[in-house]
Amino acid sequence: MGNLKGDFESEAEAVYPALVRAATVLCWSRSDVEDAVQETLMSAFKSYSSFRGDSSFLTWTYAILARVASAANRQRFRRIPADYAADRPVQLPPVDGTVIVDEEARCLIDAVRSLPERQREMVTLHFLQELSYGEIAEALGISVGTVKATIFAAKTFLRSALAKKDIRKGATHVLF
Amino acid sequence: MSCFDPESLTAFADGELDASAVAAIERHLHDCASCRQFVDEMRRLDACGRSALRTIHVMPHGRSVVIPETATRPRVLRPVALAAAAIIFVTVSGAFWFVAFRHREPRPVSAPIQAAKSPSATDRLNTAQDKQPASGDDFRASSDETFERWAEPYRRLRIPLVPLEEVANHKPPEILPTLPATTKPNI
Repeated sequence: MGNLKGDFESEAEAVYPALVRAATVLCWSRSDVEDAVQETLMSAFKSYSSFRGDSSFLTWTYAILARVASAANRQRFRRIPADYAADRPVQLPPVDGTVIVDEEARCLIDAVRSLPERQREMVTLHFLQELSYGEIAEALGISVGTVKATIFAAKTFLRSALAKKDIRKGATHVLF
Repeated sequence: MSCFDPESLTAFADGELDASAVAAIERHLHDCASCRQFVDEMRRLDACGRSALRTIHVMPHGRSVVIPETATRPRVLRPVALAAAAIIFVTVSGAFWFVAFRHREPRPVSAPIQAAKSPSATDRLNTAQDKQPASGDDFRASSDETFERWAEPYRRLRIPLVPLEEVANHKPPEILPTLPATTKPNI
C-alpha cells in the first residue's frame, strides 16, 4: 500500500497543474477549483488499484474531475433564483481576472465556460492534451461520432464568439 | 468542385480523417481559398485554446497532493472493523448488565407482605392447628419492626406516641374550677 501511495503521489504531483487549469475552466468559481481537484485526487486514489493504464493518468483523472465539477456546478445552479434562470441558459460566470491575466486568453476561456457542459468538457480535454477523438471518446465513455459532432459544434461557437469580441489577427496566439 | 462540409474540414484540421479523405481535402484546399481559411482558423483556434490554458495561473503549493492516512486503508476492512466494534459493544454492555443485575438482591417488600407470602403464614391462616406455634412470633416480630419504622420520625421530632386505649380513655383535665353553688346575693 505504501508503494502504491508513493506511485500515486508522484503521478498526481505531475498532473496537478494541468488538473488545476482544467478545473479553472470547468468549475463555477475560483474557490471551487482546489476543492474539486482535491476531491478528484481522493477519488482517483481510492480506485487507483483498478487503473489499468489504457489511457494516460491525466486523461483518467480528467474524467473524474469532469464528474466532480459537474456535481459541484449542479449545486451552484440550484442556488440561482428560478425567475432569474428561467429566461437564460445556465452557464458558468466569467473567470476571475487574477487567475488569467492575459485578456485575450481570458476571453477564450470565458467563451469555453459559456458552452454547454458536455461541449465544455470535451473542448477543454481537447485543448489540454491534444487527444484524438477516439481517446476523448474512451475517456468520457461516449462514441467517436458524438465527440466529432460535439467538438465541431463547440469550435463553431467559439469561432463566432471570439469574432464578436473583436479579437483580430496579428497576435501569435489569437488570430481572428 | 464543391466545398467540403465544415465538420469534415474541422476533423481534417484535427487530423482525424483517414489518408484518402486527407488527400481529397488537400487537393480541394489547393484551389479553394475560403476552405483553406476555415481550416487555418480552426487550427489557430486549437493553438489559442492550448496557449490560453497554459496562461492560467496555478497557485504554488508546498505540497500539492495530500493523501490522508485514513484513505490508505483498504475499503474491505471498514465493514469488518464496524462488525468487530459492534460485537465488542454488545459483549461489554451484556457483561455489565449481567454483573449489575445477576447478583442483585430481590426488591425489599414490607414485612407484612413478606409474612403473608411465606407458605408458613398461608398455612397458618388456613389451618387452625398452626395458630399458636413459633411462626406467629415471626409475624409479630415483623409487625413490630414495621411499627418501629413508622414511629421513628415521630420519635425524632419528640412527638409522644400514645396507645389508642389511652386516647380512648383520656379525660381532659378540668380547666375551669368548679364554681360553688350560686347563692342569691343579699341586696
